[in-house]
Amino acid sequence: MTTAAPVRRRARPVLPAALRSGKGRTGAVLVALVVLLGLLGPLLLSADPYRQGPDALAGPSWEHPLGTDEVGRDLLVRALYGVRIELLVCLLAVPVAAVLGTLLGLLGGLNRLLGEAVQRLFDLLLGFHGLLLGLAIALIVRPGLGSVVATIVLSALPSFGRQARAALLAQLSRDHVVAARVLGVPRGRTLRRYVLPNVTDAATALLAVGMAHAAKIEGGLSVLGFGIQPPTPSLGTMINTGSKYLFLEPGYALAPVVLLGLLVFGLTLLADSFNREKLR
Amino acid sequence: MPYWTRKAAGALATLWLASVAVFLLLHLAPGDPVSAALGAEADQEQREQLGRQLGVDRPLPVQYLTWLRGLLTGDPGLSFRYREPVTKMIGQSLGSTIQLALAAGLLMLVLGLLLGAALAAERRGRLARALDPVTTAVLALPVYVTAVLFVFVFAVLLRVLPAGGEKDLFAAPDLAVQYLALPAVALALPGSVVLARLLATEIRRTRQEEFVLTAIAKGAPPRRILLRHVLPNSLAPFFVEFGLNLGELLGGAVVAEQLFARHGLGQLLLDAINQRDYPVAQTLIMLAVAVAVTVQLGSELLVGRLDPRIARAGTGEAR
Amino acid sequence: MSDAAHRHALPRRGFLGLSAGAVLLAAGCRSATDPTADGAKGASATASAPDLQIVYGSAPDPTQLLHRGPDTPAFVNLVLDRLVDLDPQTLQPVPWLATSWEWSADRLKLVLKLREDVTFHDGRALSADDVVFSLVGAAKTSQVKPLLERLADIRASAGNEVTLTLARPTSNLFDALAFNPVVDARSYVDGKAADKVNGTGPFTWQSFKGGNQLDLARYDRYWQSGRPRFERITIRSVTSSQAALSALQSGQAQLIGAVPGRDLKVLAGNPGFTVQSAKASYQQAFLGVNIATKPFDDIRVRQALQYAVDRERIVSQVYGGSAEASSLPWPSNTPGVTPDQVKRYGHDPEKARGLLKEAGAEGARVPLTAANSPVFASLVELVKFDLEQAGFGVDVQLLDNAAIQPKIQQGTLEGLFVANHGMVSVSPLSGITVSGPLQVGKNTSHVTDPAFAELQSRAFAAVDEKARADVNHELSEYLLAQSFHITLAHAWETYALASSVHDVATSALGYLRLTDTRRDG
Repeated sequence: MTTAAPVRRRARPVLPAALRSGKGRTGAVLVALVVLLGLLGPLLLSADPYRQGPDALAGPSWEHPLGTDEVGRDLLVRALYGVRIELLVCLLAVPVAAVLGTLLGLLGGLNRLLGEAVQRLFDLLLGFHGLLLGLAIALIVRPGLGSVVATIVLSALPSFGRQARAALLAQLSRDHVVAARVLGVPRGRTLRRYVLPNVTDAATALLAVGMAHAAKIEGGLSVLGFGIQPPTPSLGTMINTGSKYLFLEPGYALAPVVLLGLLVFGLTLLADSFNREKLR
Repeated sequence: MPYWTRKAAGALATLWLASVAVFLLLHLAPGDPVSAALGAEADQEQREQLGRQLGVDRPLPVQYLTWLRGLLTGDPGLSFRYREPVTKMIGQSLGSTIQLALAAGLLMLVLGLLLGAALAAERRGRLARALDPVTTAVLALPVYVTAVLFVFVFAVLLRVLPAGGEKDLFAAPDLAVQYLALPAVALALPGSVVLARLLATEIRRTRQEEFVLTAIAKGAPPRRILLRHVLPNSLAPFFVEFGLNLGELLGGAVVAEQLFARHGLGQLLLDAINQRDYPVAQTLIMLAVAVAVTVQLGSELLVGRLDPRIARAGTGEAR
Repeated sequence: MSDAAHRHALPRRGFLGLSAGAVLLAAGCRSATDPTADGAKGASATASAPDLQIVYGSAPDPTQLLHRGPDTPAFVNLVLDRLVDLDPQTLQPVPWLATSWEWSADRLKLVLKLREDVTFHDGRALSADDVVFSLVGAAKTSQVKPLLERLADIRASAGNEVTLTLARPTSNLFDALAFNPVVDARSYVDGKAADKVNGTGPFTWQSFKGGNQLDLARYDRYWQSGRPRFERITIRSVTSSQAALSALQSGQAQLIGAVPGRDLKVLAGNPGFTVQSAKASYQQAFLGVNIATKPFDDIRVRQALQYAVDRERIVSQVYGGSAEASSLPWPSNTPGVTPDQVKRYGHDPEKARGLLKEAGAEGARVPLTAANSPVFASLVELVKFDLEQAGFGVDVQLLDNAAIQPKIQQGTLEGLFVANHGMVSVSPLSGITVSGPLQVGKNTSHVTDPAFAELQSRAFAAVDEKARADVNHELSEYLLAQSFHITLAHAWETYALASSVHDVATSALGYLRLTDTRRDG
């Protein structure tokens, strides 16, 4: 779904336009809802996600609306803190991937030899499915926030890089850029003036896709036990442990599943409407 | 250099780089296989003996070349942990994963075709409009989310399908199908939506082509137009995408195996990584990379053939 | 192109429709959610269905039969026999391959008389030479070889007898004899088992597939007549407890083992399954303390740990009740051990905080290491929380097995570590002689106190009951006071069975015993 799209001269501001469509609005609302839950929820509940208690795997009660986990911690509070970790991972990893990927893509587009090397690197990274890369990384560095972020950055690099390169090449062959070159406008200025704005627009639209991708990878790695490590609450880890107790206490796995599902769904809707705007 | 040789050379280079990367990654990781196999009580002599047996006392380049040669000749050596041929261990877990991947692949194809046709319905009727957000949701949700939801509905609430486990398709096909149902559907759904959307776009595009318009003008029945003219001309990109999604499916299978308690290649890999069973882990990761690179290469070549402009331009970046 | 695609598209659809229909029809016959859908009884069973299917948390590994390693399978007993067994209640030796024995007056010579009617699976009769070979091998490579260090000579003598000569009196020789299996001299080369293990046990070794499945078959000439009662046993290794449970619930297995007790709660109240614990053979979960690292050189800090941990909560939340809370590594009914010692340390965070304050170590940050398995991970979570309540700062490090083993071997674990071991369930002496974390002289806690070694040599020499009880009491007192090895729980060997399976026994050392086991239907 990340097909490099043809980029026009100077795209209209994509963001507000995207939000005007029904899809984009729904997506924004869903994402905002989950983000708000993650940011405000813990404040309202004012409970400690690490606080253990004597009642383990107890069903819903007034004190613990969703019940407790296997060491007696409140599941609702942990799920909401898990959202925070999820957001932290996305906000740390995706912008880094966007900047690094775009830079690499541009470098590759400007020099043939460098381009070949960058191309190999991207192919190599694409060869490792995101989770495979995560497993390998979690082996050499201790699994946790750092390894998850590294995995996401590395696995999202190629999309950003290729998109930037495609945008660059598309611009370089355009009449007005060719004309500028012929007229002797310095190369740096051409790049700044005509190429960069288009490249950054392309990257902005990819950001939403990247966020959804990041949330999926974090969850997947945690489900396999190589993601965020307990006792830090993470939606993926909760899904993994909770799925063991699906018969005893369904809320354990279902709460993080719903939160993560809504977040990813919302981000994908946003990404969809960005793309539609961009293609228009 | 012709398009396909350039692409094939690139793929080979990628594979070689991947083999170096995989080998180094696992050997740089902390922990050693001898200790893992022998446990805390073994003495120095026992450890050295086992180290010699396993060949881990040799210099890294030698170990790498030995492994690479084994890989190329189809004999990547013995498992450190079980002293069994790696190929044998992979062979024994392969069936489970293949059965899952095939079931999911088949489902993906069928669902993709049906959904695609529905989405492309000429009058953007209620069905197509209702399907749109649903497909986005299905596309968005990762395997583990759908998996947990499925288990909750079909195993916990309705109790009609097992929550996990497996059965051999050849030994007990009726039971095996029930074990396969949930993981296969969970795995197939996202891919099938990608396929359906692609197919719908292609169908709509083909409908605008002159020969279709001619057929319509001639008064051919709509069903005949769809089956005879539109569909055949829309299927090529569909199958390219199908191939790409098959590769992706293997990655998802690791997660599905974990959640549905199936003992396939994914579990073999996780166990091997935990036990520092280098030969098994390296070989499995290399296999996965090789599948991904091959599928990618195949799709690029196919796209190149379908659209010679891409081959000439030389970018050919399908995704 | 269009023609080719056209030709393919329709037949494929037809085929899919057909196969989908077939699947639906077939699915109507049996349901995979029904435990009786599969297995030995009923017309549905295929001819090759094994009689008993076991799913176990660790893999069977032939290379580990002779010297017990970290994942020694609990089913060694099914293929190999031992000289003696230990009574699960009294932990005293009972006859097995050895029918009787006699000590010399100075307790330096033991003569074992062997059964006459025992044969190996290849048909050869068991001889005293096989026993000598097995014991000599064990003294060299067994995990419990320190128990055999005082053995000066092992000799086969006439009339199917074996004579053991000791350099010094040894009170726990039978622990070692009960531990080491008797193997066929010719099926081992350099201490490594051949492809097929040849033993004298109730089941013969058929095949070992991919490190994952072990197939055993009934040995028709087993020396206990009429036993065993199964034709075939299949043992599969499945590491996820969820997978093991679903195998049991769907009838793919009738016995599952090495599943954390709390995960077995799903079966509670279901008449189709029983959960069975062997209390005599337990793994002692402990919090090890490296006393060479600060602040644990201060005994008050170590005692604070004892009061900080909530053992009752560990028993219920980690083990689902299939464990016992105790302050001592060894069994509560060990001669000489008093109830006061067993219950010495209760959960008292106030007291822990007080001790910590006294030692001036409040807020000290300490590393806590453990292997990354579901049980240890949750043990660590509980311990971390409890210690933080008492005023410690805890940095957790979970390492996978391959990474933690070298650290245990080289004694480089800093601060605190959570692990478990089994030999302490047999006797205090065997525990402090064999178990790396507690071993006198070379232990993970870096305890080099001569008083500890002195207690060990007294225990070795304590051959009569009174002396043994006295030294056990003192040893317990020493361990409680020094607090370098903090017992968290005795985790029982726990199995879940289909209720059609009866008479599953466990030896005092935790080996599965299926000689008398039968299955209805």
